[in-house]
Amino acid sequence: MRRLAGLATAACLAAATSAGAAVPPVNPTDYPQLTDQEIGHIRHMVRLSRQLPGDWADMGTDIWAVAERTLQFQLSYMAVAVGLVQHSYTPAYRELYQPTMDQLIQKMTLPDVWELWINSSRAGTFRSRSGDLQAGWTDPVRKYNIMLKGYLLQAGAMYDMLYQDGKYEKPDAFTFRHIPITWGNGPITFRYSLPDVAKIVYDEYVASDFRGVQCEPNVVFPECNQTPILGLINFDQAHGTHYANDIMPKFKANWEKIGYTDPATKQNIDYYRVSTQERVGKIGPTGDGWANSWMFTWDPEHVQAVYPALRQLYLENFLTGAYARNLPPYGNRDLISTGFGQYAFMAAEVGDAEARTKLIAYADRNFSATWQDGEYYYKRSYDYAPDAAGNSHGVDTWTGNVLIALARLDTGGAFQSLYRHPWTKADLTDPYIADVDYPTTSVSQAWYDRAKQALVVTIEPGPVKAKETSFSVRQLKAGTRYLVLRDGTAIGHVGDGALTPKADGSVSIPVTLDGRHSYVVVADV
Amino acid sequence: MSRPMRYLLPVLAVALGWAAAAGAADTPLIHVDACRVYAEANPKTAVDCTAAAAKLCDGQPACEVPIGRNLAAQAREDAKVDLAYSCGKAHGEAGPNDLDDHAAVTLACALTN
Repeated sequence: MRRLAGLATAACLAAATSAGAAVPPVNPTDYPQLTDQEIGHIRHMVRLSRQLPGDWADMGTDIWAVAERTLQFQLSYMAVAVGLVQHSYTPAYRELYQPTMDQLIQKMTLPDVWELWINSSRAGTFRSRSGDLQAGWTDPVRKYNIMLKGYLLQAGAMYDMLYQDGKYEKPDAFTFRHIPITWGNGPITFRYSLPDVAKIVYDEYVASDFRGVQCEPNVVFPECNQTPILGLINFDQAHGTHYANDIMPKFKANWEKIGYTDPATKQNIDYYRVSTQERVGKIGPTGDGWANSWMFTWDPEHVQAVYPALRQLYLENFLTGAYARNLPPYGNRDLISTGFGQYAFMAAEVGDAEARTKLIAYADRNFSATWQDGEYYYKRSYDYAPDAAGNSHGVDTWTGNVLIALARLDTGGAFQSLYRHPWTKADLTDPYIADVDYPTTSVSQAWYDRAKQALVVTIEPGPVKAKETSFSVRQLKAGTRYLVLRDGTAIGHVGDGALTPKADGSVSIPVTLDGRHSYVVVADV
Repeated sequence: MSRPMRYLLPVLAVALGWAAAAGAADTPLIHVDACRVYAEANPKTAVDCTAAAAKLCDGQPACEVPIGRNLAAQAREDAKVDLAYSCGKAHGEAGPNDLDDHAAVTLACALTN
């Protein structure tokens, strides 16, 4: 249950009167607020974003059937999860989220992540039907590999929408360095800007006659053709291009014509083989959840039409533990868990509150839920075989680091809303908070209400103990008198006593870290 | 430290440029010997890009050479680029690589042998 700031309603009205000020009633419970577990999820992602290059602790997997494993997906999903919280929960607190998102994106350009493409580019007889292994190529963006560049595009374009700092417009925004000295043809560096990636992805949709961009050569997976469209939506909003608008209706028409979704079962196919125009296999809950959670943003009618059948097919299977009864003999057990995580995220995004609640509760009971230094996550477990009560305790890192976190953060249509309501330059000129001492302090709420000219902030103790701290309020409107309230009680006006602005115009607000406190900085007109 | 690592680490260090006294007066510098852009199907009809690469690299201890259409404007999309260079008596190669407007190869005396 979303936490309510206990006394806020009564207190805020009382405060307005006791201060004798002409301020509108501002109730912190009217604005989004992160729960303790959600803050814990974010702290976990922040920690993973700060690991040293090459340190992938808590991110390993046994999904050896998939050449790229899951690092690039974990990183991009965490980046957009952080972006979602930035956009929808704490828009007025950016100093934590901006570098975290950037670091997660930049980790996708490290060799441990992208060089696996070199194997995938070689195709082969098994899936690509290319005749023997081909020479392949090294550049991970130039052609195909939508399972990397589609996620770079989504995360990079979301970062660009949120922060508008031009970082991903630069020619070397995504720099991939190939530096082995033990094999190969010498060091080579590939550099791409976000506009480069967007244009290449768009051109590949066009070149495919809008059937979808290939992953490995000759192979189109339906799930990896969703996030590039979302990335292009954000890109178009910022650049005035029409890439996504051109792709969506044509790709949708081909989706039905090709039959990416089986009309009988509503499951997606495993993949589409381009050269023979074959639909191959059925993907199962991992791919169905993966595709539909994102597709809900750009084709909600389709997802609403297929979701009831998928729910019927999968939900009870998860809640009874039946999904983990048949384990692969070697490797790929983590795919069992990704099915759980992807289904949970899909259920959340489509607004199936009952399924979402049950799946999160199942995860909290069974998946080695871990509180550690303020982080909350589900530590990887290989204990997949159901216990006597029928519950599986296995959990993979993609699910445990971010998929269940996304299910918790997304109370229905969260990403649909993000893509429909992009930030503009005006959003970055509103008052916001900064100079938060991250180890000692958590910010569960930071929202500027433009209509009421009110900044609403809720602060609580972080994992490192301290008695007192402070935060700064920046970009208050010149010439406006602001009243500051703590837990509904006026503590003074900006400009008076301790609330005197610094030379740069910011105001420092003192905080006692003895519990959760809500602050409102509101124009007193 | 294991015996193989004891030998390997100095080699790695030199190869990656950490131990190179690049730019010192008595240190050899890059001379581009050859650069060509060619189609794999017809390697004899190559575009000579030696002058362009030399302009970027000659006399430097290390440099980057973009290997896109800056070297051969009319080259086919599937063309290859190959460079050979020397630093004194030591020889280095970069490529063959795909012609790629987003790619640049690194030439460095620390990488020659």
